[in-house]
Amino acid sequence: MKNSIATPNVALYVTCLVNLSRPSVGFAAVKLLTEAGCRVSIPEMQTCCGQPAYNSGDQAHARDLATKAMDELDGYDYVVIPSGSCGSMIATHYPKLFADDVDLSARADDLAGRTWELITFLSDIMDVTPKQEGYNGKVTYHDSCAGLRELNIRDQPRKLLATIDGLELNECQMAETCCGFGGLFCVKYPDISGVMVDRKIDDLLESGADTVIAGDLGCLLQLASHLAKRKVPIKTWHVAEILAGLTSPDHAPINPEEL
Amino acid sequence: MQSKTHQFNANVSKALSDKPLQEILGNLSQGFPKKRAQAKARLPEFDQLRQKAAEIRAHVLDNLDLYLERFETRVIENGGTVHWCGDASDARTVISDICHRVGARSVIKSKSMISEEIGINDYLEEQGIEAIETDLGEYIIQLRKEPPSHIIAPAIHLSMAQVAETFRENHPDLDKQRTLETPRALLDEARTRLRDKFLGAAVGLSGANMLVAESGSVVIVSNEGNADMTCGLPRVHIVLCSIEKVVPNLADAWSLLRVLARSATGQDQTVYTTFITGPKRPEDLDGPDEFHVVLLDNGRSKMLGGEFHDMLRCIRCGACINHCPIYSTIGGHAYGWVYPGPMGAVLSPGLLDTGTADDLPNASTLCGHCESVCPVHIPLPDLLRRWRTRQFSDKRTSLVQRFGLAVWTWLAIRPRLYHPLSSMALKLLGIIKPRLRPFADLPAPHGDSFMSQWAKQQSRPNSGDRS
Amino acid sequence: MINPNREQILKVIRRATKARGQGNPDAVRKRLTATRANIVPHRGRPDNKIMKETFIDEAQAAGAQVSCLSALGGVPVTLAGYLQQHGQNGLVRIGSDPLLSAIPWQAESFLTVQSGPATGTDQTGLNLALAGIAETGTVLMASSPQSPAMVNLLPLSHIVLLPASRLVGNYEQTIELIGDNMPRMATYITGPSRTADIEQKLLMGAHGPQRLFILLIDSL
Repeated sequence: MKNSIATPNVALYVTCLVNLSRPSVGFAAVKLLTEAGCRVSIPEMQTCCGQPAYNSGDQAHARDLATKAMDELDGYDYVVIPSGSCGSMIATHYPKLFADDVDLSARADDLAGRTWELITFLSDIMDVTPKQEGYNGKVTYHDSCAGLRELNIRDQPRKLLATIDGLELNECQMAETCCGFGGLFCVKYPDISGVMVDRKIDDLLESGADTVIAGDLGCLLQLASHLAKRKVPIKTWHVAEILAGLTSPDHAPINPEEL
Repeated sequence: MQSKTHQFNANVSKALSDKPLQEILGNLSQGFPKKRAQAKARLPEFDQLRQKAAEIRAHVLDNLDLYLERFETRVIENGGTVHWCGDASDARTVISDICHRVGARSVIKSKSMISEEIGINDYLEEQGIEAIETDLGEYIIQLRKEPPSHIIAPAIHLSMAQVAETFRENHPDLDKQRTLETPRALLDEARTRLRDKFLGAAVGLSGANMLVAESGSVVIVSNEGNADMTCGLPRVHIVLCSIEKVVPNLADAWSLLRVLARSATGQDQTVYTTFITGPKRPEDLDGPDEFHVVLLDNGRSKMLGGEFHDMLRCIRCGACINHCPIYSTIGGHAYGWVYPGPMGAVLSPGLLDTGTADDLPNASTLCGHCESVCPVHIPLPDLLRRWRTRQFSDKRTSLVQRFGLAVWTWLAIRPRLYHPLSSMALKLLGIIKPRLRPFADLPAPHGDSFMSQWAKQQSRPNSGDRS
Repeated sequence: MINPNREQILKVIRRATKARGQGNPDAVRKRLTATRANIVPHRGRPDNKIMKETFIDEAQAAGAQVSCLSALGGVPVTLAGYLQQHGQNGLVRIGSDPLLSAIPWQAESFLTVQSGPATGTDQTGLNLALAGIAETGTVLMASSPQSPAMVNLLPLSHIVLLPASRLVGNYEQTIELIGDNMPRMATYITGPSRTADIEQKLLMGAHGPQRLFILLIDSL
């Protein structure tokens, strides 16, 4: 499984949320991949992988967007995504989406085989440990659901985080419990989603952590906004930002600035 | 049982504002999930056994007619009777006919979700036959006139104080000064109360965890012992079971039993695992004179081979429910019918009237915890998604959602429009955001999109190549 | 008489099975005639040397009490001590297996044994187990005229006489043991009756016995 290409051509697929609400995660990913020895490209026509449509049962639109993604992601050695959720959409769900399509199923399988979530890619494929500038804090890691259960991302981010100077990693009890984001779920069922994230925050408080790190911006935005609502000063960072050392004082955590 | 799945949102509001319920639900993860993890840790072959269990169930569904016929033949050879029932009404009639024929005035029951599905208790009551639930949890909720909130722990939503209150109300003949402040006192009271009922009932009605085709045996598991007493004390034993529960042989049954209790309660084995094969034999000192198996279809044969085929592998352990973050937020009653949690959200829309349970498959983050603990590897998130797909193609998905997705897709497949537009929108949002209440707590965007910032960086001279 | 429900249900099943290209009578026949164990975990295949130890450990973990006796002669005094310790009377409902009749009951005046079906007021019931299963410390009670099933369920204390020679590693071995003589009720009992239906708090003695006491007889 390990990479054997000298300077692999990597397409970074940043995801809608990173593109629109947290560009620094994209820059962190570029830095990490470049330092790992990849030639990084950002396909400029990239938009949305189609997951919202797919999870809403809108197969036609999901296929439209998936076909578009397959076109623009052709030809790269690897496609890397700083998200377990969007990563799994391509790696796990595209093949299902085109399972009955004689023309496209092979292409979907091919893309799925080349697609990796960022941290797993660095750890399992490139086998690198990013060099970083240290992070001072008591940190806990939240496993995002798709990454954990569809892509088996569990140990990789923890292993890399453990190498960071000053970073104290503690597990919280509910690390593997869903934060209640769920894409459109939190819009359609805000009350259920609110109770779910409140329980997560209670658990974060119990863990004594001052920072929560995750690999998916969806979870992080959900946590950050409810932490702000409850005025809890726990910082939220994307794991790529921490690993790339993009946490200097002039760069704020994901939380709203008031905190 | 009357379905309330169509009022899902109202059910949810009620559950979320119920403080005692929220406290109980908040502690659920400390119970079954923890015990399951311990049981799994004690059995290195657990995942291998799950794989085998899934294979057995899949094989049964591929040959269901053959196994059912064989099971029927064996039950008859053993001296029992098999009743095939197409729907709930057929099953109710068969059961009440037997009760009338033997002059039963009361029926003791051990926990059976199928019996909730067909609403047999109310039906028998209407005909003057008392139906008495004997599983402690079922007994409690029967007194409270509530439906079960969990398939293996029906009263899991109640506190001890609520149970004590229920007993005081429903056992008025007992000393009013008695103390009921411990679970032990409550259990002892129920045990004494139900003992007479056990001994006095002419008919015992139980469910079944499995039907063994090889021997014509019915497998029933219980921790309390009430199932064995339901099968062994009355003159007539009626087993109510759905058709997909058959398994090929005794070894297959044991393969499933090795994962059933571990997945459900985290026990290595349920206390009483009983194989019942026919009625009382000539020299036996106890046991029922009549043994009936009511085989209920109620929509299952139609699921076979369809999009929800895999759901028929379910062995009703409740692991998906125990690990579901939605269930542990809203509780079982919010789902509005017999089966809560992920398995219920897949099963109910197929068994109830079209459109009445549309919320259930949508009220999920698709977090996948359910699938990861399912002992028979049912791809529950995929099945939930399939319901969403069906709703979408039947145009039952809300207009707002359909319109929103159409607009989003229209834009997203036009990157030359999408990127500048989103960049503009972000700048606009940066200005007006603080005034928009629902977004006030959301982190502020960085002012410009990644794609736009990247493009600017790349177009600057000396920015180097991309590697 | 043709049952329309039966035919209709089977018809729908067969149609679905055929559409999927499934349905394999040969495979089914094979599975119904040559029952073979699937996966038996390591814990269910203990060496003979640790069979007894594994059984006792597992039975105790499930909440049963186990006493090892060298021979049947030791049963009355052990049982009497046990019942007195738990404040129970000396009336014992027993099955009528010849092995049980061979016990020198008169050696212990505290005990009064009575065979026949169990009643709702019996405090103690004693039956002979068909097997003990080391894997989970389970005893197999097979109903028969000599072993009425409710003796295992109705009393407060359930006493099980288990000859050491009847210990097996796993459940599948009991299938061989039973062979073609499937009892009317084969009850595999793992620990005493229990419930956790009130606030998930575990309590012993729900409807069935509160205590399970296994007398493991080495010489048998």
